[in-house]
Amino acid sequence: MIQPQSHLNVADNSGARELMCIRIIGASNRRYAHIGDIIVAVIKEALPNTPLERSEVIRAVIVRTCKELKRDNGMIIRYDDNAAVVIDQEGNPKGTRVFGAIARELRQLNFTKIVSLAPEVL
Amino acid sequence: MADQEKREITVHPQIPSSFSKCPEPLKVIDTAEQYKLDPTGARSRLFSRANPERAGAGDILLVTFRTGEPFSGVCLSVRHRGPSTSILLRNTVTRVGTEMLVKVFSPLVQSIEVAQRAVKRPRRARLFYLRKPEKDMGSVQKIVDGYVRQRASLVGGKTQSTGGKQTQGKRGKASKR
Amino acid sequence: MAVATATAVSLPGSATLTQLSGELSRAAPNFPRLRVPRAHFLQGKYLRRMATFRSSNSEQTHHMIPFAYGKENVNEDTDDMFDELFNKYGKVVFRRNDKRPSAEVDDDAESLSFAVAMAQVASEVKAADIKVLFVKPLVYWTRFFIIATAFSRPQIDAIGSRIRDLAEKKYGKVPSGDSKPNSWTLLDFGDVVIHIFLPQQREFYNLEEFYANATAIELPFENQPPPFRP
Repeated sequence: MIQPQSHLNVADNSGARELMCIRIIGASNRRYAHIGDIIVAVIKEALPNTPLERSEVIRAVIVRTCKELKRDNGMIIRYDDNAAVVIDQEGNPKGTRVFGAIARELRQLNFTKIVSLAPEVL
Repeated sequence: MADQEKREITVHPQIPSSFSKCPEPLKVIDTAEQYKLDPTGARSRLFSRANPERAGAGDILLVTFRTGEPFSGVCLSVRHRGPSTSILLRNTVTRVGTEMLVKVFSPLVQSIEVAQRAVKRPRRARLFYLRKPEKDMGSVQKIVDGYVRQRASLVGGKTQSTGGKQTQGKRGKASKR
Repeated sequence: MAVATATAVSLPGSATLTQLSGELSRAAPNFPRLRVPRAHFLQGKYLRRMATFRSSNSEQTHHMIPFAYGKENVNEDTDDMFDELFNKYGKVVFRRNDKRPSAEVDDDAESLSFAVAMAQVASEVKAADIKVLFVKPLVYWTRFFIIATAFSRPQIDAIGSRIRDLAEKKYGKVPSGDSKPNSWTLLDFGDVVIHIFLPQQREFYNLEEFYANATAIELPFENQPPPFRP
């Protein structure tokens, strides 16, 4: 349940460290974003000497949330942090590797690229 | 009062109650469903409250799904609800704490094994305090790997994957991130 | 009587297992290993069933091979031994997936033929450096990766559409994935995932390095060498 002003960790090596959500892509006035939603975010913290800088506005896909993800088969998955992967306008991830576990739902939502870079898909 | 016509009050016949036939229909349905999902009763016994050797909170369980994928973790709680009994497993996967709620009798669940019994029986049924960083168990991978190795030595077969599939390194051991 | 009665005291798991395994090695004969016919590149995954169910009327017994393989190994003692184990550890019963190992290998072979066919199509459109990787031992969500390089976006588009057409016509599979040409176009066929890169993207993401542990499948057709980078 990410909403504007939520801080998220960055789960890839694009250079950003922490993002703050400013907008949820989808319907206008959409309240919360979940795993698999694209958000517009501003970089709050970035690693030095990387292509991304602080206070840059980028798009990201949410890959982990503290709010449970419910599946139709009754399984529920919950992570300990909120995390996102920075993507570009085409939908390609900006980083080359993804860190941490990723929810399988991303594959159905056409983010198989992120899934193929992920170390663990739950 | 004026003389009113006597109105007939229709008395409808009583709808036959099936209470005597089946006083607890939901119990019947649950039992039937449980039998369908667990015909041998093995898994029910594993979580049955009557079983002194049951799997419970604090134990480290290894769940293998039908696709072959395993998930292991310390059991934070067992929610006993008949056929929709569920367990909440917590593990640290690639340095991210992850919890998974698994429906014990789901047909997607191929097997549930106890990798390690709780060393000391916990004093409560819901171990949500394990979410705190100071009490967190971290990754149970080593314990589960040890259990699988011993199981393999008993069974005499190849060690089944325990979730360490990816940790063996997609890229080979020499590479670093 | 092969096995001593287990004590009621619950010991830490590992100690009891080794103790029991000791008993087992004395008591039980060597159980023969189940060998799955080995395809030239695939290793069959085979799970063993830990014991026979006493209840022979169980519907599941007919498609489970008992661990005590062959009738001569099953006797009362083995049953007792397994009962001890069950009582200690709950039902540690793992059966094979619904399909037998041979069926799983068949599935793998089917996906492989599909993957190779797709790789063939890609090579017809002059994609370079096509690699088919068997990633099933590494990930659980797919079986094969095809990685190819195309030199321009129209070429990526062409490869993508050719693959899509062939998959639909011949195999009836519709991919999910990018429909617009992208510098990294991905076609997801479930068991097979096809990555088509531009040369810079391929180098940037370096999937082959990430999946270096995957077995590369030899392709029957001539593979164009990777583009020369000065």
